[in-house]
Amino acid sequence: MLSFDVIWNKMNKQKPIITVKNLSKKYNGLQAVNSVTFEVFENEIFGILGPNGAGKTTTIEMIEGIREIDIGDIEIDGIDVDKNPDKAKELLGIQLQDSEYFDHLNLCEILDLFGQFYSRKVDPKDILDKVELSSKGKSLVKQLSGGQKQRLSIALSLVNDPKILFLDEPTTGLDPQARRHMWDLIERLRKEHRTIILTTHYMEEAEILCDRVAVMDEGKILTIDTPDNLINELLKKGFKKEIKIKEANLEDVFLDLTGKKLRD
Amino acid sequence: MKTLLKLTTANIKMYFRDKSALFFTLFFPFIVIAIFGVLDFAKFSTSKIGIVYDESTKQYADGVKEALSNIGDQYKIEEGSLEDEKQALTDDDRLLVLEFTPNGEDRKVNVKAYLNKGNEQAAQATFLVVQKILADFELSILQVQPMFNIDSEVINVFELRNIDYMVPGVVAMSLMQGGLFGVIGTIVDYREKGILKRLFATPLSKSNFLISQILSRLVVSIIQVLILLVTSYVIFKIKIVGSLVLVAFLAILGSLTFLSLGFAISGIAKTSESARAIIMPVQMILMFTSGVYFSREVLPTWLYDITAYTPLTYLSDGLRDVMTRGYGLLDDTVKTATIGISVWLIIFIILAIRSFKWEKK
Repeated sequence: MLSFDVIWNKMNKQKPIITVKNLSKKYNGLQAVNSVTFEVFENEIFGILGPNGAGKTTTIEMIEGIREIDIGDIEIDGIDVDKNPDKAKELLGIQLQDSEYFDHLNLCEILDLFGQFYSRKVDPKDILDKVELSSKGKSLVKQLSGGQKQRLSIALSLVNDPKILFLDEPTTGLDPQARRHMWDLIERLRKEHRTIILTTHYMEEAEILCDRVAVMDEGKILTIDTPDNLINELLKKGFKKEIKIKEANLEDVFLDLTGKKLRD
Repeated sequence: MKTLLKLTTANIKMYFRDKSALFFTLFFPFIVIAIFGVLDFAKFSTSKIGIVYDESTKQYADGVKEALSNIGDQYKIEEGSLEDEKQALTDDDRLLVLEFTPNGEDRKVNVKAYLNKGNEQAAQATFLVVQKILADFELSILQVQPMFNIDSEVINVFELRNIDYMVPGVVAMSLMQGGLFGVIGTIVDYREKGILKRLFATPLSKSNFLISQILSRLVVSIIQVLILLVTSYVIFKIKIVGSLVLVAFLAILGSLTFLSLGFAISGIAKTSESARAIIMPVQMILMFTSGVYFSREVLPTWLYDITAYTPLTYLSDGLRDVMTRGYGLLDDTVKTATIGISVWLIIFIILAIRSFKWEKK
């Protein structure tokens, strides 16, 4: 299996940009992450899936350098995260789950301030353009809708033009229109030669966006592969869905009735 | 360095856009001063003197009245029947009631004074004045030259008015509130909203973050103190006898101390509710036991002894001695205050460093 992986990677000239080896973390006696090993390749969208409490966020936060590593090694683009967290942070764009921002600064000011923390800095206006918030530059965060807030949080992760983006449940709480819109944005960001690590609870989202996914549970990685391979393997085992799938689902009905146009 | 500057200016900008914080730190202390400035606590006790006389004693009563009004307008004189005047005394509407009655023999007159027990000292003092007037009266009627030429002059060294006492206390109080509410509000709020964690996910260093918080609060506090002093000076003509540099030094030292206390509490408090539960009693107790609005002399001895060591007592006493008495850094009380505040500063810094957390957990 491993040898196949290596050959497949070489064939596709895929170069690992993140290497995680034997990563472990304990909280109050609970093994949150248990000897996790994986690689993320340059310019792929890598999904980390798993139920709540599976250890996804802890794993990601250790890679991001905001949580101490108990055991294991993490290398980002050749930089040891444990030894050089600030150097690693320079390369990363981070969007955290339900994070809020300053109440009394407008979007341009927040982006400008965050940009100040990095040595590489992008013009706030360009970033707002990219996430389609250019008309909101002078607005305060509280004046934004849920989808706009999520896009601001993506915008903030772009202030240093990062090579690697971490998106932690970027579509949670969004309506179907805003979710589809977010998918397009994520695709566009990948086309700018970024590597994206994504967590989500929506399997169809992972299926559509991710090149490869890791499925985690109880602190361990159960499997890593492309969504297609994983589905095929399951089918090979003789798996059959009990209900026959219709050509459309309720979400298609919803989008057909309300249109695909983004509501803000 | 540029990051520090940018973050500090952003903090100040956010502060000035936060209307409720602005009100509490800039205008609330001023309202306190304005209220206490127009209040006259002397009015709590009456200075009215009741005089009771009949036809035969009228000339003596008139003489006393005239002599009292010659002294000054602090004595307000009322006339009436003994019954009415004594009732007024019982109602705390007279400081002193003088009853002039004929003695019956010769031209002697009985003068009886009823004193207000609630304000006995002032009543006694006024009665002494009346006795002096009567004695002079007697001498002039008997046409005897007085042997002693008695004269007195009131010398009030510091001429400390209520407002002069209050302003340094309110300055100290607002430095405390700025430190406690400002820092705790911001830090706990940032932590609850995940802003601290998000900041920590950038290469921004903890020291840059903390120093920028302290610097911006310090700038706000200095502006606040300036507004307080200038308005008190313009409106209430407060006296600032001592060195302004020393006032600034103590204000900065005090501000740093309460900022550190703020950081320490925001490390301990998990939510903004628990933070409030810690700050409210702390600041209430300090405010009323540290000689901010009134002298600690009114406290029971045990409390008086303990509260001598609170950071707010050191700060308000130190500021007051510099501002109203012109004491220097080497004068005992200012020296004690400076050392006292510095000790608290060190304790709070250690607590703050130990308890500070980026995250909720």
